[in-house]
Amino acid sequence: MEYLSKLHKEYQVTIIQVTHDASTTEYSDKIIHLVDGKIKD
Amino acid sequence: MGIKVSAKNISKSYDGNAIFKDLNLVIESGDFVSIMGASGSGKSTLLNALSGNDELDQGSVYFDDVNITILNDKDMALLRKTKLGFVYQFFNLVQTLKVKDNILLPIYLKGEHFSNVKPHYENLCKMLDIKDLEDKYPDQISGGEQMNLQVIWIVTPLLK
Repeated sequence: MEYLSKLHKEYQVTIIQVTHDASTTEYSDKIIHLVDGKIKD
Repeated sequence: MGIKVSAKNISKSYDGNAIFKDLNLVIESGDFVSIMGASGSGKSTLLNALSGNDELDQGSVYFDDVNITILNDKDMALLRKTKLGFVYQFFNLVQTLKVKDNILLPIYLKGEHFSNVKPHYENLCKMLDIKDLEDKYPDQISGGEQMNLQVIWIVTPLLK
């Protein structure tokens, strides 16, 4: 995650990650919760 | 910075079961977005839809204003090669290539020579502090390190 965060900052790439581990979302700007195929705000 | 990816009214089902229906989503350029959900919530299906790895039943996905839903295989492959990087949960480094050549694989696949990207490659190694790994083979480094290195593939297609 540290590399991913560094690369995100340095190269300003857009990152979309899929996870069920909340600890990996600490570097995210935005979290989308998907429940039964629907986005929960 | 503008919109990078947008999904408009996308639907996908498998064997008659709707995974998602009429879903809309916008991802801004430079965002770091996490899609969270329990197993079976449709998150991997959504990622495959957003990245053009899977066909949709309905709706469109736009990447940099290009409707990727209607791209043919050749154009989609070109987009993947030049603008997208994928990192998988289970590492997929090529075991017969040194770390350096693994990192540069997206460059070689574009038909470019190492000399074109040398300064950028060196900058990348310095930034991530991996200079001492570059001449090793994947089986000579730890699983965690292999996983970390694969992350680099998200930017190597961009090195110029």
